[in-house]
Amino acid sequence: MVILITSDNVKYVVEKDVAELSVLVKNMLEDIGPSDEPIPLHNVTSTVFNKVLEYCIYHRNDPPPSDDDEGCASPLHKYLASHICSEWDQRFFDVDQALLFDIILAANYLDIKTLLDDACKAVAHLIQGKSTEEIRGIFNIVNDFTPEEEARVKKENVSS
Amino acid sequence: MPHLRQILRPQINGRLVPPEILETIFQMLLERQCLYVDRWPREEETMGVVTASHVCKFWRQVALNSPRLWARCIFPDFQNVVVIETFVKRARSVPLVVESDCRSNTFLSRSPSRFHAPCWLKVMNALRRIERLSITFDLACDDIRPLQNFVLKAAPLLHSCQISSSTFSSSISPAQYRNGLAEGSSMFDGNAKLLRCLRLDTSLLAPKACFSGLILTHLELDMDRVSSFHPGLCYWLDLLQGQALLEILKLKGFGLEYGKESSSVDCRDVSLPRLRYFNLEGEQSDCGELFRALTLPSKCYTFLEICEDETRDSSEMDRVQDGLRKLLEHWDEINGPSQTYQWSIWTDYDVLRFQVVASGLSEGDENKGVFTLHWRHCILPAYPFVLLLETLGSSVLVKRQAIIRLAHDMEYKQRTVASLFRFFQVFGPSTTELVLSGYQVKRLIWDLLEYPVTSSLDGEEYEESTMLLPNLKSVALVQSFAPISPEWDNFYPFAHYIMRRAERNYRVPVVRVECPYPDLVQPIATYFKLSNFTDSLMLCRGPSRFSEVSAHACPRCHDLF
Repeated sequence: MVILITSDNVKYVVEKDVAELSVLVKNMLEDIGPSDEPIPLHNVTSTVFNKVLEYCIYHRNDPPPSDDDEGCASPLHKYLASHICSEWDQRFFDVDQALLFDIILAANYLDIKTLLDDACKAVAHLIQGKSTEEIRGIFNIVNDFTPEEEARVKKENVSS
Repeated sequence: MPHLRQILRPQINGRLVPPEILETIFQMLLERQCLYVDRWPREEETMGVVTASHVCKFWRQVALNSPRLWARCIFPDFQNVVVIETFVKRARSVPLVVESDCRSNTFLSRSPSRFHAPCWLKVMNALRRIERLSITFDLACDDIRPLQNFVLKAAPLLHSCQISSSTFSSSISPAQYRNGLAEGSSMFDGNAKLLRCLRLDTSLLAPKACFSGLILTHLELDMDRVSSFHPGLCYWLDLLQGQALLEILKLKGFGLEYGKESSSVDCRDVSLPRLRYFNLEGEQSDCGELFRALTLPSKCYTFLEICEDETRDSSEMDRVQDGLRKLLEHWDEINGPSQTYQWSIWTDYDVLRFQVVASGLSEGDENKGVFTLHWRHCILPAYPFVLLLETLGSSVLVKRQAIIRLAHDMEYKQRTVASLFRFFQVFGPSTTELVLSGYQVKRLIWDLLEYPVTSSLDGEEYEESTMLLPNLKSVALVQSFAPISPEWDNFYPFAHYIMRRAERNYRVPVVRVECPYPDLVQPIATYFKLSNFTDSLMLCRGPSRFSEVSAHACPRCHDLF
């Protein structure tokens, strides 16, 4: 078991194989060796970590992600991993945008590639099919283009 | 300054998102499958990237600084030349990915000169920069001559190339697409050293196109009838002999040229030692000709989909038999006598299926080889198919431990079907497990119980009934029956089979009934006192997966077989 402490001082006792889905935690465990010392997670609050943990527990037996063709997962596993997201995943990411971005930032900090990719897919889905104005509205982004700049970029039309 | 930039960076819902994450989100806009089931058409996926780059200065800066993003945004069918030039420039030195699918709605009003359009010419001139190419064309509408020339140009960065036809039109004459290319023209000018995955419609190929210089792991050729590409066996053996690293080989509509070459005998054996998926689909004698010439590794998934050519001698099935005999002998040599084999026969409306799998008894055991044969369009009695099974009776494999799976759904031609299943009499004592399924399976159960065997006494032949498969350890009836279903009829002969076996001292220790409603089976099982005739009666939810072993994926094009 591994003890993890979030930035708001909440302590979690997590099974080692689940904790090690985070490359950050895995590296820290390797660095400190066998120890009962808790590992601090400075950039993750307990609210977000609860979600991260839920994801890691559900995906603990997935084949490890691999970018190369000769990785340890079979081609079929890689295919399934890259093309198919379960209903569970869809439900998991059905959260408010603030939490979704917090999950992304946590996944990036903890270095959990599959979670980061899946969460980015969920955000991509929010963007897909929307107009520039709608995207700004969804994510509360201020348009900082001058009218001239905006007119110029909007001339970039992909359609023939 | 970096600190100042950090402060000036716009926030997303109050959160600072690092540029590398934003870039990942943009990349995900181009993923073939998003998190949700509803996939966007490719053109809209590209639009998503362009729209995102218009949101604010920071998003634009991140997008423009991601050459990989723009390298994947080339879709010549709905972009103008300026856009393509811009995107190619933004891709910098990153190899390009070009995709075009004529099944998209964009193509509803396209012209036949699609591949002559300036955008396509631009792309074709950039072939040296393309890493992945995927084009679908319509043979009935598109003028594909530019593509025919395209595949002859050097493509030094190309990893994966798929150019396939989406339709088949019988009204197209072969002459229409005879490309005038010299016989034996070299694919990609012999300069595509990185190309591993090649999937082509053969209407693009010159007669006897030359594949030398290519080192492929995945080759898929679709031989439509309008193509002038129907070489003889020698050509195929030469081609495959030169591709010793092949892992996936799929030949669809396979047919050999009939003429001077086909009459010459080529007795070569070509070995493909790394092949793990082989799918050959076409006319029986031509497929058999190639199949028997190949030496396949024992773990290969071999899948033959053949149809009978009524104009030719059906005895030509013996070529498939030769190939299969060779394959099974090889399995036995590699796997040894302790290997268990699963033998299956399915009958369906117009397909007969036969499969043998070298595999262990438990679910998770690794498959050590699969051979599947689909016999299509069984309008005539499938005597060649029966013949093939009968010759397998002499195979050493039938003496090994066996699991037999029989699925019978064909409602007509009962005599033909009965002769198919007769094959299983050769197994006898080596069979330990029997799985029965299908709507019409009851007809087989009676045969299993009262199978007539010809014996002779004092020189006189007579028929007696015998118990097939005397050493069964387990029998299962797998049904998808709902409460009101004709499949219920199968349960009664099944129960009768179990009881009669026990009465004749051929008791089966484990009996399983798998269906979605095991609770409904319970009273009937109790009525028959079925548990008195076996050591273990299991009524479980199912049906279990009674399907063919499959699922291979190409690591490069990610297509699943």
